[in-house]
Amino acid sequence: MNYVLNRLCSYPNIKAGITSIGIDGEKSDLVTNTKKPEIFLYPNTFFTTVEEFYKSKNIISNILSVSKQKTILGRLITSQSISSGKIMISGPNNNIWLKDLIDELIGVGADIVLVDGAISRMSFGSPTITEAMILSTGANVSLDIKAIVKKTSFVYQLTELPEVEKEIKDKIFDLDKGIYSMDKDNNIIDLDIPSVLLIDKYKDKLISEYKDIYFSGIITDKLLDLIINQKSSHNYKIIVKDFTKIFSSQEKTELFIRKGGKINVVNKTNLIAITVNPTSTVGYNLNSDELIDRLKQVIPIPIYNIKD
Amino acid sequence: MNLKKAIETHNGLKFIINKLSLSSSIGRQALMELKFIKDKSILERELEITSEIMNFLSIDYNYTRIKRIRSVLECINDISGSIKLLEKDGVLDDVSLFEIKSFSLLSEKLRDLLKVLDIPELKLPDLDKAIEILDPEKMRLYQFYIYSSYSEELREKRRLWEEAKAREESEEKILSIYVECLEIEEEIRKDLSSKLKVFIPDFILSLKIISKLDITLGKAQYFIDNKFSKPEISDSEFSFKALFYPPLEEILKTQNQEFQRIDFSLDNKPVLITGANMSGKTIILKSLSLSQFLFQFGFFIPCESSQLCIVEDILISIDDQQNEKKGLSSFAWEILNLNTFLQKAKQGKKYLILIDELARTTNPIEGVAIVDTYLEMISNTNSFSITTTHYSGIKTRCRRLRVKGIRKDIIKEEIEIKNIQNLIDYSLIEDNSDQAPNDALNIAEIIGVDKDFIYKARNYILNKEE
Repeated sequence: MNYVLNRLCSYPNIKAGITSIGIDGEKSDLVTNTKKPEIFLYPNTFFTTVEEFYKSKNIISNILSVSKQKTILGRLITSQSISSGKIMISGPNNNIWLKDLIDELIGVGADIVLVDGAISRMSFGSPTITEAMILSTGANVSLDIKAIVKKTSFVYQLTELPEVEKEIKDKIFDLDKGIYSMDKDNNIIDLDIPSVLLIDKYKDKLISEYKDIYFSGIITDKLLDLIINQKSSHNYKIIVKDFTKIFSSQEKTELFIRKGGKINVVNKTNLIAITVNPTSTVGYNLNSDELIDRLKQVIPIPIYNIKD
Repeated sequence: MNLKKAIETHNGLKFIINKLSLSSSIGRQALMELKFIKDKSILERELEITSEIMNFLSIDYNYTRIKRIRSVLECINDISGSIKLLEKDGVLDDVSLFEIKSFSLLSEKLRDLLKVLDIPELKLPDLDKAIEILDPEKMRLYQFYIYSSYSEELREKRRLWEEAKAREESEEKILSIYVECLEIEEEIRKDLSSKLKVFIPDFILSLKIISKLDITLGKAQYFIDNKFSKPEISDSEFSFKALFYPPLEEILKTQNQEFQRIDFSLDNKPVLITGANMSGKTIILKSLSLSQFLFQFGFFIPCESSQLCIVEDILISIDDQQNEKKGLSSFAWEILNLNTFLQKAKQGKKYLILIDELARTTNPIEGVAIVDTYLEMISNTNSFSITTTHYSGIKTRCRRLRVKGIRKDIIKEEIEIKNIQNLIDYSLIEDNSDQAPNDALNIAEIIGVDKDFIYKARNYILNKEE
């Protein structure tokens, strides 16, 4: 985030609005004893953070609004920086609130809203909420360069999954619950499976003559296993809302695709860049040139070293 | 008794309260704290204000103004916590100061919007002086921080801090200047908090009036939409024209059926209502208790016109699922209720006592005796009493009403459980006999009970009569 803000600073006409996904209360820095994630802001930046963090700010800022809803660390304070300085940011803890907050930040004058995320809470990167995503990777993912490249390129591949045809997209766009298949004429058939987590009970419904299946929720290893074990597994096309709904492991997902299966998304994520931090929070340093070179070999979008 | 307590025991009242659309959280909170009004002049004034607001809402010309009032109300925040802190000489933080400033600005906006209303109870205090304290730059914006214009010293320190950062001095040095800034800021907060203390009564008054405004707008709109009417306050009698029970009316509407509205009047003679099963006796009692609650919380009544008396309390004995019997049998629960009601009534204050099918769970001989005795005792008090019964042979002198029951012009073959609502005439008629109607078997037949059973039961009655 600091890297992106630093770059944005050279465009004085663009006012940024900053927030982040909420943390669930436990101050992780107390557990891992690592440095608190402070963000450095320039003057005239809009930001939203919890009351608790607002009190310990290291910046002069003008309060613009206070939320009615509460997070575990208090209400959300939206304000505008007057000086430069540092602040810890923690925002809404659910997607709907985050979406509203993004609108609010734009309402008070932000030209672009940046949401700090976390790989474990990637659903916030869903294209229904944010328009574009920057993926941050580096020494915090793993200390093994090979593992970093593998994990990062998997996420990249997921963001590159093709979007489903427009005709089908329009039909399933509003389906928020359930699992559906599509016949030859693209008619939507409700498979009446209450949850993918109960898939064992409803196997028979999944294995029908129609192989295009839309999962409104998540897809898991168990589900992919079930399909991979079918003779006709190569005919299956799985459709999910967006890449954040894919909870299956890299191995299973790749196996499914290698066997001829397809995964499409309703909303494609616009991954615009990858930033790499070669230093971990505990202070370990990786060979950044090697890491970035290896990443560039498999990922064709801009990759930045934030330490440059 | 407050409204929160009352809705716990009365589903009909809860139904209506839940339908009110209020804009602010302080309004919603104050709604639950509304008091059961026993003072005639307070109640009269409350009903008048509601009437005036209804007029205000009904004028097309006010549309934009009302919309603006509502949107201000939606933004109103509850500053009562900050006020309590001020009362205890506490120092407010930036967020609380921001909230007080926003509240005051919004309150001023409302004061302006309400100027066209001539209701002294809704006249907001002038908070301009309080705003001045929190708005040294006179921008009148919904923003707040410790402005440099509060103190030259602060302005200077902040400048030094910026310079230190620009010169990239040591973190320690930068931090120590920042801490100095914070110290000055804290002094300013102390000063602002003590200056604001003077306005505590105005803030409290403003919170109270804004809540009242929100509640009154909410109920007035509901009364317009649902055709409730303003009750008249009487000293001695009750009367209703076209009374209805909104929760049931709504259910019937979804089934494309109409609720039959009833006329009803009552003086201080006890009333005994008879009627067949399913004839709506319980609903009559529920409508009456609902109306009385609404009336004494300063609401309008679901009817065309009405007259009601102010009572000390509404005493209800209706045995449905919402009652908690605390492990007692139906009879013990009911008879203990009855005992309490009589004890209260004996003390001379006016109560409205509504009892559904008194003593129905016991044998008819003792049951009749209980009803008779109750009616006799209650007629010697100042309370108003309405009792329903299935029993024939009640001898006590009282006013007797009967639900008309199954319409005589109905052809039996057309009757089905689905349309049974339409087959019963729910209106109340004066009845001079002491015989309760015997429609139980007719109703049982209509709702499809085994024909053989009905035939045998009818024979049983015939044999007995012979």
